[in-house]
Amino acid sequence: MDERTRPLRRRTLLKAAAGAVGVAAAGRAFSPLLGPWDSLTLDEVLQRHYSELTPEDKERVFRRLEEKARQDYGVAVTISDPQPRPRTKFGYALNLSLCIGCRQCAQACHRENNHDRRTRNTYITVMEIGKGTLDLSRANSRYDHPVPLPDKTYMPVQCQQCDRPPCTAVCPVRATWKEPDGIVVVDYDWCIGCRYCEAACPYHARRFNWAKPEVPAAEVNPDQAYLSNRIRPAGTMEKCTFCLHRVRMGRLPACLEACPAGARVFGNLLDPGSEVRQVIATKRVYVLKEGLGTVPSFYYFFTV
Amino acid sequence: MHRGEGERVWAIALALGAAAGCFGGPDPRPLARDEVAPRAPGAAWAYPEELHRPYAVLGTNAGVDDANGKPARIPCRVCHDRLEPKDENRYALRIGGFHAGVAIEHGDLTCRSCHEPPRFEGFRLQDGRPVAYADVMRLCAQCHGLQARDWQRGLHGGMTGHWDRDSGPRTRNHCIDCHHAHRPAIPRMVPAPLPLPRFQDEPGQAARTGDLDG
Repeated sequence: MDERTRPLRRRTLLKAAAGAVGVAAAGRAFSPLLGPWDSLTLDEVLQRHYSELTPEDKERVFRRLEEKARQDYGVAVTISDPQPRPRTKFGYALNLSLCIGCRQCAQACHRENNHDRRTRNTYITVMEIGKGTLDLSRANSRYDHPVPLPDKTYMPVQCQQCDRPPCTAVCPVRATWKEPDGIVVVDYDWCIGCRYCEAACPYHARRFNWAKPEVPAAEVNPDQAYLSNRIRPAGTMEKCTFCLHRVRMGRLPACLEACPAGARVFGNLLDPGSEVRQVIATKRVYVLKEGLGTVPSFYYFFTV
Repeated sequence: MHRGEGERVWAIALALGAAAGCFGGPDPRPLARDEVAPRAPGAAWAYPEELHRPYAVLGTNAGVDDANGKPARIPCRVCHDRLEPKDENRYALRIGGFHAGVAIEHGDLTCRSCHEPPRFEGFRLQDGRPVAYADVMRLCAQCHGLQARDWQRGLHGGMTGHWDRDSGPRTRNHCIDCHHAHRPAIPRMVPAPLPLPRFQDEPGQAARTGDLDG
């Protein structure tokens, strides 16, 4: 008998049934993707990548975000888009001999960058390390006793703004990239929240917005930038930008201004006269996890 | 594998690849690399650098508030115009009253190491030359030369304002903004509150340490 004219075989039926189950399971697995579309406007869905926004697009998008902040948080904010300054590449240096581990930098970051108040989120992790070891495998980032202890060194760690950033390389949608002035930024509206970058970062510098940030209106920092400290939507990655909205205007980062020990030095790495270059020229600096080849723009040093 | 299945797989892969390609933005912008010409020595910035000045009245807290609600300060000379300090009180450790907060725990320094006797009105260097209050940093630099050099280069000490002083001014801290001149060790303090732990397995259980391990 010809194969085509035979009645339906048991094996064929089973295969078809298995296939149907598979299709149904796949559909169910992807169904959460349908959820967010309810809350998105057409304008938000059609918004393009930051680098493809025309000045008119930016005007429209920024005004929409400002209106959204007014509705959601009841506060008037300004969302700007300061551009990289010519012949400028930002660098940071931190004197571990002076740092006392008080976490004022982390607190300032929390306030400046409109972090979620409930989780007390911040981009800076301060490590407490045995003096003379710098053994990060024995470091404690969750100490909660009066500081400094005499036998400890304190090491704040934030985004190292690597010249070869592993986090941008793994992004499947190029929602994060390195700007010409060295700052690694995220387009929060392009990010799909896959957290690959968080896994790729060897400095644990990236954070994920698990929920919509809670910030009381009185505490919202209204001086915001699209790529920096605007209130991030839930489900996106965020990270330290050296306070892009401040430093591109020539100001110092919030963590530096808050440091009561004066342990932080900030400046333009391309200016041989800048203070951060003075650190590199006159101190024995080292970078964190140098062997990984990430080429950080963040230098640690000791003094007497 | 049937004939034609290979083509189908390729077609699907191409379609998926094209779809994924649509998500990607343009190539990243190149990093700035040109070195900026160094500023000529002494070349002026557009904006000044201010030194955060310490309080203006050299003296001790009176223990009462003045008309503006700030702690009233009494200049040393009010009493020491006439009164010669006793040698046993050279560290001002166990005397109360006006001297209650003066206690000197700074190496083996005494009042007279920096304050100019007999009236304690001004300061003097170790070689006896007087120093104005505004230049009091020179007193510290006599012993703490390395820190003073780092401070001059902008590598030590806090500041606020602008890193680029062609964009705006900057205010720098003075030695005694952070270090008490009499007790220069920075006192122990309670750190700012921690963020909620990410790696806590159960509420109340000790959090893991070594976030940066490996």
